[in-house]
Amino acid sequence: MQSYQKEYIENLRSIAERTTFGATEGLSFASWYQALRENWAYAAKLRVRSMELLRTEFRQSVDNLFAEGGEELTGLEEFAAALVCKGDYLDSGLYCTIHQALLSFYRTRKMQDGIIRELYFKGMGLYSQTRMLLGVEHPVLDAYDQRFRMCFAEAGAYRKFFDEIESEETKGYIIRAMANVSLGRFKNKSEKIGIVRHTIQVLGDDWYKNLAPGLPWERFLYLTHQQMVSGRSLFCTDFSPQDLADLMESSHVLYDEQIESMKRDGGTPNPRFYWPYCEMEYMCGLTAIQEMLGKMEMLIEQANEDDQSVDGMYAQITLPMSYCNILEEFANENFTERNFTDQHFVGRDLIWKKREYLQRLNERAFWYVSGLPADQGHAFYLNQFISSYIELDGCPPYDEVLLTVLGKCTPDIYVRSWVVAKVAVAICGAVIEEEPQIFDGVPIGAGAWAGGVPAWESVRGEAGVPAGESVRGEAFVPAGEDVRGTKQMRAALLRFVQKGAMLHDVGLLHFYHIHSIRNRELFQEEQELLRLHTYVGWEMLEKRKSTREYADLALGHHVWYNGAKGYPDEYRRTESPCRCVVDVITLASFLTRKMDSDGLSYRTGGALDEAVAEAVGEEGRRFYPPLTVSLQGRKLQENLREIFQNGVGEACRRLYDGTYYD
Amino acid sequence: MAEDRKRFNVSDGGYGNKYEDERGPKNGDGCGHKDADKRVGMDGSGGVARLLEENRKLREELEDAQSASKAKDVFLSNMSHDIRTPMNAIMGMTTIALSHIDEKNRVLDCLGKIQTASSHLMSLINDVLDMSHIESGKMTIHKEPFSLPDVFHDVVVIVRPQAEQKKQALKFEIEDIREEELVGDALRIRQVLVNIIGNAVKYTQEGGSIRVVLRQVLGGEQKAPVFEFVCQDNGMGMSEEFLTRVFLPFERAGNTTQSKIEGTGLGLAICHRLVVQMGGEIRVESRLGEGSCFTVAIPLEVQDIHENQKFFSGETVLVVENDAGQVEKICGYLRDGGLRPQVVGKSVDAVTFLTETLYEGNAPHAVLLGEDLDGAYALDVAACLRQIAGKGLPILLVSEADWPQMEYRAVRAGINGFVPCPLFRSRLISAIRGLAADGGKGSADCPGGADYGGKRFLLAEDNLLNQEIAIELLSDMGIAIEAADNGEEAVRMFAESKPGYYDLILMDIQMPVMDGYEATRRIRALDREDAADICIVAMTANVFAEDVRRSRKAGMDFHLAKPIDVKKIEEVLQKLA
Repeated sequence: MQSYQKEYIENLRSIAERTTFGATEGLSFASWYQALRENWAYAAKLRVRSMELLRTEFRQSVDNLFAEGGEELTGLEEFAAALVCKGDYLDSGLYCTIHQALLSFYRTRKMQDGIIRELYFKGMGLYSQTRMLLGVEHPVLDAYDQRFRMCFAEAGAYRKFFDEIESEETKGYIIRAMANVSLGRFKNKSEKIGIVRHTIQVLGDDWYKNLAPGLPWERFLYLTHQQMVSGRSLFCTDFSPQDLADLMESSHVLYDEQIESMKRDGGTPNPRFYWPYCEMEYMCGLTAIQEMLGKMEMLIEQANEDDQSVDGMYAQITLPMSYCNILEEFANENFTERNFTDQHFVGRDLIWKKREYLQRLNERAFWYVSGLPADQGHAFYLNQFISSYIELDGCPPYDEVLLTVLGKCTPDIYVRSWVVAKVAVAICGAVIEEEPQIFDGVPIGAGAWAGGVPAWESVRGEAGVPAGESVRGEAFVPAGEDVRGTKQMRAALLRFVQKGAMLHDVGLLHFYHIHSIRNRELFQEEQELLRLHTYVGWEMLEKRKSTREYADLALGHHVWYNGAKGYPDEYRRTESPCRCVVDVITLASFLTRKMDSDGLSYRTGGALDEAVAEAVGEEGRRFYPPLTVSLQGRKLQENLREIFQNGVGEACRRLYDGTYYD
Repeated sequence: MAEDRKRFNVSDGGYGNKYEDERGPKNGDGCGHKDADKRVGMDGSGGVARLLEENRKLREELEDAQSASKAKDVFLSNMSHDIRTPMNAIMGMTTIALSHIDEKNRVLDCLGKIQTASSHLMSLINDVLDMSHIESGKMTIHKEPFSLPDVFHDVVVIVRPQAEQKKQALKFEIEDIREEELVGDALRIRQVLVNIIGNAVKYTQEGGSIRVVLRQVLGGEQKAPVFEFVCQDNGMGMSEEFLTRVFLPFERAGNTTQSKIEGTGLGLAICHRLVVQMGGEIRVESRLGEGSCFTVAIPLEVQDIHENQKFFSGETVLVVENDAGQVEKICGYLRDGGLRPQVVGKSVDAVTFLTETLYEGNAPHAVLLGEDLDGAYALDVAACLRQIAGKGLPILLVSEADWPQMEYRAVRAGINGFVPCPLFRSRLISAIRGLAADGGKGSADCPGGADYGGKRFLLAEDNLLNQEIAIELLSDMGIAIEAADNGEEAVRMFAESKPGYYDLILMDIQMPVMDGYEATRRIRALDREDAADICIVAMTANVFAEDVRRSRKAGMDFHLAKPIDVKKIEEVLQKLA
């Protein structure tokens, strides 16, 4: 590797280390907070340096690659390899960029081995970027999946000329690429099974083995069986009898040994292999639904609640959430019994009988998540938790779940959302004084009261509500009613704004692997993917009763007021009853971004004046005019300066105390 | 009823004169009309009965006059939606062009659409006059060569924006069209189609669906083929009672006026008369609240173009398309053109196929990317295929997309040809031919992209301003122009040139010294090898049937209206190619 490449890798690790929020045990808040701010400030400097390295020396390397090849080629290949650590990608975007450059190089030179190898690596890099998007369905992601699939398909196409390929290593890439076409999302799951089935047949063909005896064929076969089992889906109606047989066969290959060993030793079965096996038995009709659920309950009850390993998270998060989702799916009236042969299936009755158990599962999973340390290594399971969480009566409401996971998994997003919320409430409070009617019709329903949303002293003061007095609100602000004249309603509105702003960026939880890139600016493809966080956030909030009213705030906060620019297309301002609140959060988010210094602290001095001037300059285009008018008020600006000065500290205090919601 | 209304046409002299004629001279000097004597019974025979009958007729005529007057009042107070349809297109495109003023391609596209819509508007302004002409028997149908794909494309351009505005699903389907170069009145055909589809858009609710099918029904050596155009919607439909008078002028269904849908009540009446005059028929089926289905069947002659339809000899074309219907159509067209389609439905299969065939040294002749690629973006697939195949492989996009909007990104992705939908055989084959000839380099098959460098025209035009305009427009196409100020000079310049020096002669009709007709006759009479074959195009401000007939009789090949239309010139050149 060249020196700049080593420096970049080093910076990358250092930035990742410094920007975690870290353990708080044994440290006072002041010490912990001080260290945090220093680390983030230092990381910001490293980022500047990393960008400089990319813009100058990396770009030069790529230019030299086509002119000279040789040393540059080796350096870049080693650089890309260093960006992967134990299967995890330290910088998957840069990884893909390097491999694209290498692929182009080999194409111009018509070097077949290089082309095939680079297609494989590029495909793996592209796949890693969407792997974290568990449970997210969107046409953009479907198209993205096709990109890595086409890379694998091209490399796998050389299987037809296997005997003409000299390099055994290249043959290995061809075989793995052929199997990897089955990665990613499939609308028709049977299609995925078909691809893997074909790969297993090839791997069992001695003709290929004889041509490349040195390849790890057993390992390839094991990986392919794993791909087969990952294609199982309990409620899929696409599977043919052959598909089910193949799935069962693969799960036998993978889990037979462990299960036999478990039976011999009488130990606790590991849920990570036992549950897929049980699921497959049910899918193939070997067990009844009650039996399958019973095994699931056994696995859940036997799991150690203090186990925070990957196995523990599987047992405490994946299993309970899957259990709840299975029962919910059975209760779905659209899902008919014709798909099952189980005579004991009772649909909604089953849900009714299990309701107390479901509540307990939800609560148990929630408390388990709450007890996890703030470590991004849990991101996969926490994403699964928030995607699968079913809001049942008596269970923690979804907004509390989201705020907890935000604080645990993405504390920087939590901090930022806190600041945006404070800014939004301040703007809203100022606008109510002058033009309260613009909030007519905003649905500030029961959600604004659930769980005791923190009543900031300033909010209570503005609302004119004496300390200690409880406040109740109406279902919505009736059109034409003067909100200013109704203190309770005003308070309710501000609470709605506050909670909505806290939740407006929850979609980023699914894109944290991109959002957390702090060592450089985002590539264009990453930006495109990240934009989906608005739609994903909307889906998350819209699905659950307690958060439904905030869904539009997640969807529309990046759309211009006049609709001329921004994203996503799905948000139409005139159709949203919360449009003015969306406008408030849009402006608050803009100001927060402008004032951002290093991702954790905000600029002081004349920075706010510049941000305000820029916002006012976009009045009527990007921002709703009454808001930009109020922004020019001195009192509001003083308020905002104070928020940018103290808001981060307040949010970090809550993270330190572990109180993500009130 | 039409005949009754006709009696009140001012141009016929009107009711008053006729009544005077029947009553006799105004001065009342005797009974100048012998029948008048009989009617008033002055001769004493059949008097009372005849008087009653006469009174009855007069009452009827009075009622008819009052009814027609009222209908005309209604017409005047309700502006024609037929005029507003293209007006909306003009205004919308103008707004878009202004907001993208720095994007040349976008502006060009908008101007092209404005041109289409404005020329249609001009024709529609004549609706009222047309109706008058029709009623008075003065409407003539011009028969001249035209391209069915071009006419249909024009129709799509005009009606699509309105359907999009109402979020309607407007789908065009082409079924088994075997002949596309026809002879007929393209303007009137376009008028009929725009009117019928425009009505479907107007009378279908937001989010509704409209399906337009074009098919060739009959044909063969003995009979002229009949082209059937079907427009089906799920809109408000019509009652059985209204269906009996739907093609009458000034008739509108009560529910449409109540729902404030704009209209004059003339559109379908004009359509009906035009179609009948073209020798066709128009019929409608409808159910109130469920929708309507209009079927227009017009017999059209096929142009006498002897072309070898099979331009290829079995070359393979990779078709990447997941929609079965579209696949069938594309494959049929390709086979007709002598190509062998190889179909895959998924992007990964396309990649596999291309990689394998390139390795084996028998890469496909071209690649066609459809709209349904099983979730993949066409531009992503194109980029991947382009990387695999390199520069030489033509990759075409077959799509309903707005090409100018996506052209920049598409070309960068590696697409070098575009075939618009609805899909016609000639466009598909022409696009593949063009790219194959260029070696995959050529620009997409979209208007304004052609280059006629090397061509030389002789322009006979006495008006200097018209000369200047023609020279400027045609020079942009790479054509060299030599101008003559009158017919005599044109004949002299042609006679003095070498055979083959001029590729085409643009001949004005009305010129001093010698007119266009005489100049053409003299050119055709010259004793030189290109005198009989050189293409002579008549240029005239008015395109009347009589003028067209005279032009052909004089020996001219095509007849174009002034001002000079670049697209029309291109059509002529393509026909000559």
